[in-house]
Amino acid sequence: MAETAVPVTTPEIRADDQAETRRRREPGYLVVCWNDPVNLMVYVTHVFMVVFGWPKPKAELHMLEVHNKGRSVLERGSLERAEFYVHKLQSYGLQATLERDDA
Amino acid sequence: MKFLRRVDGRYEFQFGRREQHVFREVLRAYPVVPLEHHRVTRAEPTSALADAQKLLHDSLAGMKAEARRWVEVFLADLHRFSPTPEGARASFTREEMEWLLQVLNDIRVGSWLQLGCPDPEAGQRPRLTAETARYLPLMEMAGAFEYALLAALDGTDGVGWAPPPRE
Repeated sequence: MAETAVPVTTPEIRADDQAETRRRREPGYLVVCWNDPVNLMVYVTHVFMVVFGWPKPKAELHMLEVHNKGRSVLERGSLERAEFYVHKLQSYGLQATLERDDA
Repeated sequence: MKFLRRVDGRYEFQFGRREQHVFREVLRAYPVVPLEHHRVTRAEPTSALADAQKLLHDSLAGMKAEARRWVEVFLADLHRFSPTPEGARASFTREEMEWLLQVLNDIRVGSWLQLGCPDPEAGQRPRLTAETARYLPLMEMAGAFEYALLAALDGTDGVGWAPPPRE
């Protein structure tokens, strides 16, 4: 069968998108931050901004989720990646754990 | 502790006469959170998570030892605070601000643990005994200093903040 020359169009995939897709495929662990009555809300927002490099509105959104719902999932990824963030968050005194992503 | 200005990347604060002394005494308490308090997961332990728990303890033990050394150097620096008619002034780099926040928050959380993890919203009161009484002012003062540092980082002066009222 003769090949037909057709214009090949490849979608433009940014490096960020590829990394995000790879992260989603990795065996799942969640980084969860739990509510407690001692950490200041402004402090929790600050830590999220420093540890994840998030802009303030996103950090505040997760902080409020922790405060109102008792927990917030901050990150999904491999065990190694989850460990990295749990170490960082706990070094700041937040109650952060890694949990299996069963979803 | 009042934020004055940011100059050349340093955050300058005014301390009252007794405030400087209190600030140093609070820092001297570090570390307060016991290593055993840190749990890597709330799930049932597995072998992978047991390794992760050990890794967390090792990592935090190293970090706390480094922070303890940083606090000792900080407290030993006699030129850190410059006397003023109102008390003293001190300025901190961005990196020093992060160290101070981590140290002060450890003191605040550790004091809360010593007081029995009270939740004021649930009507719980701190467990006050002769052994734990000192942790109540420690927790409140660490929080007040944290708030002043965070207000400076956020570009506000933190004026108007007061500790939450107690029953």
